[in-house]
Amino acid sequence: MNLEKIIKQCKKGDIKAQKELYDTYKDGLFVLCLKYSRNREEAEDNLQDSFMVIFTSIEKYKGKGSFEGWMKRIVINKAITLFKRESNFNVLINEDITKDIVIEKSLISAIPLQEILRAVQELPTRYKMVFNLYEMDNYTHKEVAQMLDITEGTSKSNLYRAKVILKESLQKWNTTSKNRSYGN
Amino acid sequence: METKKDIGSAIKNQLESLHAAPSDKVWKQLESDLQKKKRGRALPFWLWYAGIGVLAIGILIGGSFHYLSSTPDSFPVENKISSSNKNSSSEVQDEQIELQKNASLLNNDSNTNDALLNDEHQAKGVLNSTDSKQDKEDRNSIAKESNLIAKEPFELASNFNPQKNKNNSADDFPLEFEKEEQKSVINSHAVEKMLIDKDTLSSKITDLDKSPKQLKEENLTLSNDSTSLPLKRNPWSASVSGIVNFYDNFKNGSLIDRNFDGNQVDRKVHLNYGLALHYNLNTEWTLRIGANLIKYDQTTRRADSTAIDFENLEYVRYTTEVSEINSFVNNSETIDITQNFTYLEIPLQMRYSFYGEEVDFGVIGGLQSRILLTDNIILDSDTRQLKIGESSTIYDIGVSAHFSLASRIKLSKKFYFNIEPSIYYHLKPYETDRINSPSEFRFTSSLEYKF
Repeated sequence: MNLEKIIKQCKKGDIKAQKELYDTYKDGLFVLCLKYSRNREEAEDNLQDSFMVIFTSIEKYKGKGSFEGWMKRIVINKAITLFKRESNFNVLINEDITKDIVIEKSLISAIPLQEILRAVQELPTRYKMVFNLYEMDNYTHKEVAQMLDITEGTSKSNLYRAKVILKESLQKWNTTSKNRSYGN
Repeated sequence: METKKDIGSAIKNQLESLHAAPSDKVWKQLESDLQKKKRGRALPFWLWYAGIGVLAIGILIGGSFHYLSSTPDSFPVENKISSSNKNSSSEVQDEQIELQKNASLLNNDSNTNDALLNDEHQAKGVLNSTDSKQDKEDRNSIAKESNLIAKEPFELASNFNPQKNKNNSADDFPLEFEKEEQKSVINSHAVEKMLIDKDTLSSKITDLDKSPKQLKEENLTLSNDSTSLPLKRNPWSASVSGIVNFYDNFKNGSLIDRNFDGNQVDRKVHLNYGLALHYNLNTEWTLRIGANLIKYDQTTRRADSTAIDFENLEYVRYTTEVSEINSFVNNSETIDITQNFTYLEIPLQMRYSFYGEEVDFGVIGGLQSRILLTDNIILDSDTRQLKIGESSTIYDIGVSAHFSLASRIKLSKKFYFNIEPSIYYHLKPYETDRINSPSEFRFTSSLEYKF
């Protein structure tokens, strides 16, 4: 079944088509959920809720634009609403937020993907949201600010803090890893 | 060669090659939720069966009453009266024949009586035999006893001249009477009844003196008295009604989201409309069927836009884009949520009248099917409104039971005014079991026209 037919059947509530759609996109959307969540369990909950929204509002998808993009937007919106109520975003940190935070290519290449993911997941929620939206999903600070109900300044500040924490976290992992190697 | 890179870009590049798959339980849970949603708007089967069962019982009871009210226990004088306009003189004559026969039966010797009771034809033969002197005397005596006022109660009988029917044997039934018999409904039950009650007979004979019009008028006034001779009027009537409903669906929980359980909810009181067709089964029981359009409109006040996820409300099936909702919520300080829905109801009711005069009192019990026609959930800020979807927990079709006190005031011969306070109980109107206060109070007033 091609995508168009799957969508058509999903609009009719066909459970087989829904399963096929789920199987096709579950992995890609799950990775997206992982980035916005604190752990795997939370990501699975987010994925489940997102697919529920996808199936119940698929009638509204009129075929304009990428279907995958439409689904990603639903996942991101779900993540935003889940975290929105627990965080106070309007925290402005007085730092030089224009300063780039860089990392050595060789260092990041040496770190396993799971560890990089864990570093992102362990970010404080408000930083993680901004980091993911801005860096991973290519939204502008203006858009991020609008989506999260914060100012652009707060968005930039939170992004900066996210990068600082990530660098510290990855460097710390690298050091620990080296120590472990030497110990062996 | 550049050895350093912005950490954001670096992490993005690395995570692009990340692959992960969710566990199987995600689909299982999702599938279960989808099935629930699918069932959400369909009434459970047991309610269908219950509704159909009770309607069938109602129809059976109605049918039984109708059957009972049309059995020949009642004297069928009304039929003759109602048809008297066509040929009043012949109908009165028929009546005379019947009464003459009954008079004979009361006074004849036992041999003749037995024959009369067993054979109506024979009875008529005896009545019209001019040779039976004894019969004539007996008839005259019963007429005196009964204070008959009839001028010539046996005029028709004595007018019969057997000489004109020479070809007939003595036992043959006269041809004229055969014709008369076809017109006249001679009811053996009525004969027996009148044998028991001479007074009734007397009054019937007295009636002969009156014109068919007089008889009809008199019987109309007697119709409410079950012990008197029943007069069949047109049993049908129709009414238009205004219905005010007071509902409290939120009593045990919000119909939008459990986070609103504690919020203030305002309910609009609507004037709704209905039509009904009534069929009087007898003087006490009336079967009614109708159609009502009932509106509900309730507003949950001051939903907290900072604490509530408006894109993910528990009992909402969304029809609006998430971005539209986000934009609305972000630009509104205080938000009310209005939920309005309309049902078309088809009630089947039985009305029992226990006191019936100019003002009649009774009770009504009934069932009704309910069909959800409109269902809207609307976000309402001070200046704007946004319809976000419809309820995911209200069933499209439902059944409810109701009980009413009823009073009917006679305005004129044709028009009646009904007042009916009622309690309604809707049988499982919502999919969720969390909300269990589906009762409502209604006040119905209607204008009824009797055909």
